Amino acid sequence: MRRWLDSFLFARSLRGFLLVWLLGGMVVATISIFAIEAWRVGNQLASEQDERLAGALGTLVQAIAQQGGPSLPAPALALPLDTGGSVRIVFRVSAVNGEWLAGERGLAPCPWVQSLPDAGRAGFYVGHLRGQLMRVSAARRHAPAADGVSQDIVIQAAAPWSERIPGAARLREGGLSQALVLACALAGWVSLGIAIVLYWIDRTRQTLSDPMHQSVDAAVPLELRPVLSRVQALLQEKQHWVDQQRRFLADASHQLRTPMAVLRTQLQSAMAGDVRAADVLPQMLHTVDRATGLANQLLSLTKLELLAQRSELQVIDVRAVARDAVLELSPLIAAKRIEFSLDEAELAAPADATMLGELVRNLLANAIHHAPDDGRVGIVLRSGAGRAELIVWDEGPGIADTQRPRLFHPFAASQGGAGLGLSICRQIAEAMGAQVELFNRVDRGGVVGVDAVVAWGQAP
Amino acid sequence: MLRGTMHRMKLLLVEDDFDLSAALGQTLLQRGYDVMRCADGHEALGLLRKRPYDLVVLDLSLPGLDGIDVLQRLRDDGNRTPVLVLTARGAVGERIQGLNAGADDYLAKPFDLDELIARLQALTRRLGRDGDLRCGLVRHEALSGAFYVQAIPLELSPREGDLLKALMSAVDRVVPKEALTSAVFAGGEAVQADAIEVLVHRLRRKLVGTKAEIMTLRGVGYLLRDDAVGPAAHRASR
Repeated sequence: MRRWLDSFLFARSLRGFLLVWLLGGMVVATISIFAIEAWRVGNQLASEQDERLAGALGTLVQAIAQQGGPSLPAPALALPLDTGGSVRIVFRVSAVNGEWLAGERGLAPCPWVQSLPDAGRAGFYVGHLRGQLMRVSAARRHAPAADGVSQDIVIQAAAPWSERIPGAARLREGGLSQALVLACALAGWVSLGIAIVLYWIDRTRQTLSDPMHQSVDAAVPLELRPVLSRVQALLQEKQHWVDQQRRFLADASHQLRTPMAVLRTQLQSAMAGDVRAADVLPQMLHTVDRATGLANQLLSLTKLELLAQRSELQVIDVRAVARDAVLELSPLIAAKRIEFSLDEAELAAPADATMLGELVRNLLANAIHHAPDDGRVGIVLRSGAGRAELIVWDEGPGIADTQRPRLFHPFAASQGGAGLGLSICRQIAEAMGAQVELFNRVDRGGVVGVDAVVAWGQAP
Repeated sequence: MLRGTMHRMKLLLVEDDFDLSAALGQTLLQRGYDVMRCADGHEALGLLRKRPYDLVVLDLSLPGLDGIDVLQRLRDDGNRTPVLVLTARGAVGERIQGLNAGADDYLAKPFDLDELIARLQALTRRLGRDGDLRCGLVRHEALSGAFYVQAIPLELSPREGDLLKALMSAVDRVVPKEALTSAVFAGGEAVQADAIEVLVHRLRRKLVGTKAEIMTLRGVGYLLRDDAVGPAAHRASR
C-alpha cells in the first residue's frame, strides 16, 4: 500500500495534488451526470420522433384510403402534417418494386420491403435524403387503385435523424444548468479550501524562519505542530551549541593572547638590554610551555566534545580502562618514584571507553603532578548500594577553600596547570551520567591528600 | 655529552617540517650526533636500507610513506635500529600504534630538547647496535643471554633471568603482572598466585646497587626504573 502510494500517487506538490484529485473528481462526476442526462433525453426524443413518424404514416394511410388511390394529388402529399410545429416530415409512396408513385422523389425507396412487418405496422430504419441522415418509418399497404385494381404500395415517412440528438436548450430544461452552476461553485469552494490549507502551511514555514519565534504557536495547525516543535528544538540546540562554541572560542583566544603578551614583553626587555638574555630565556621557555599546554588542552576539549556528540554509552569494565590509564602514565609514576596501588573491585558502569580513559588519565596525571616525590598515589574502584565509584587519590597539598568554587571552571588555573583539566573531567563525567568531585582527605585535623571521586548513581 | 667519545653516533632524522628539522638537526649536531636529515617516508626507508644508522628519530605524519609504515617495513626487514617516534600530542592511538609497530620510545610534540637528548642517550645505551639490553649498570648480552653489572656477571636463576629480561625490554614502563607471569612461566605450569611476587622480591635484592630498581605498581604490575638517566628523561612527558 505504502509502496503503491509512493510510486503512483506521489504528490510532488500538495497544491497540485489536491487540485487534480478534488477538481478532477468533480469534473468526472459532472461529465458523467451530463452524459447520463443526454442519453436519457436522447432516448426520449427518439421515441417521440418514432411516435410522430408512426402517427404521420397512419394519417397518410387514411388519406390514401379516403382518396382511393396512391396517385394522389401532389398538394395533399406535400401538406406537412400537423405533428408539432417546426418538425418537417417528408413522404414517399412507392410501388412494391420501388417505383415512385407520389411524394418526395429524393427519398430512396425502402430497401427492406420484404421484411416489413405485416398488417400495415410500421418498420423503422435509417435512410438519407439529399445527403442528410433521416429516420424513416415505412409500412406496406394494400391500396385500392383508381381503376379498381388494388395493388400493394409502400408508404414512407421520414424526419431528420438530428432531431433525435438532444440540444443544449433541451438539456437545460432537464436541470443540468443548475448542476453546472453548482459544480462551478463547488470547484471554487474546493480551490479556496486548498488555498487556505496552503496558507497555513506557509504560515508555519514563516514561523520557523522567524528567529524570534521560540514556542509552538497556538495558531499552527495540530498536524504541523510536531514538525514545528521538532525543527524548533533542532534550531535551539544548534543555537545553544553555537553560543557555547562562541563563548569558548572567545575565552580561549583571550587565554592564548595572555602568554603571547608575556612573551613579547620578555623578548622586548631582552632586546632592549633591560635584562640579561640568560635570565629571560628560561622564562620565555616557560611561557611557551604554558601556551602550548593551553593549546593542547583546548584541542583535547574540542575532540572530547566531538566524542560526546557521537558516543553511545555502554556498560563497560571500568577496571580495564583504569589499568590502561596506569600503563600509559607509568613513565610519570616511575619519574617521581611514586608508590602506586590499584585497589580494584569488579566495577561496570555506563561509559564510553575512550572518554572514560581520558577522564582517568586526566585525574591520574593531576594526582601525580600534585603528589610529592616518593609519595603515594592510587586508584580505588568500589561499588555498592546502587552506586559505583572510581577514586583517584594522592598525598598532595589539598585544595584551598578559595580555589574550590572555581575548580571546575574552564581556565581556572591552579598551581601552574592551564586549568582546562578538571573542566574536561567534569564534561566527560556529565556526558556519561556521572559526577566528579574533589575532596580534601583530612586526618587528625590536617589535610593529608585529595580524593578525586567519579561516581555513577545516587549520592549516599 | 657524546663529544669526544670513540665514534659519532649516526642519526637519521625523518621530519617533514623544515623549521623543526633544521633546528633539531642543528642541536643534535652540536650535541655530537652525525645527523642525516630527510623529509619523506620512501626516502627514509631507502636511506635506512642503504647503510646502517645508530638511531632514528621518526615523525609519524609524513608525506609519501607514513611513519608507521616506514617503521613496519623496517622491522619486517629485520632491521633493529633503535627508533624514537615523534607523535602529535594527545594522539594516544598513534602512540600505541607506534609502539606496536616496533618503536622503542615515543615523544609527544612539542617536546623538551633535553628530554629528547636524554631519551636518545637512554635508547643507545639500552639498545646498542649489538642488540644488548641495558638498564642502569645492568646489561643483558643478546648473544649469550647472560646478565652483567658493568663487567661482573650477575648470577640469576633462569626464571629471574626471564623476569629481568621482560622488564628490561620495557624500561620505565609498567609491565602487567599477567604478562610477566606468561613470560616467566611457560604455559601449562601450575603457577601459585604469589609466585611472581616471590621472584620479584628475590630479583630486587640482587639488583641493589645496580641503579636499576624494580618498582611495584600494586594491582597492576612491575616497572624497571633506570636510575642512571638524568632527570630530563624522567621529566613529565605530559
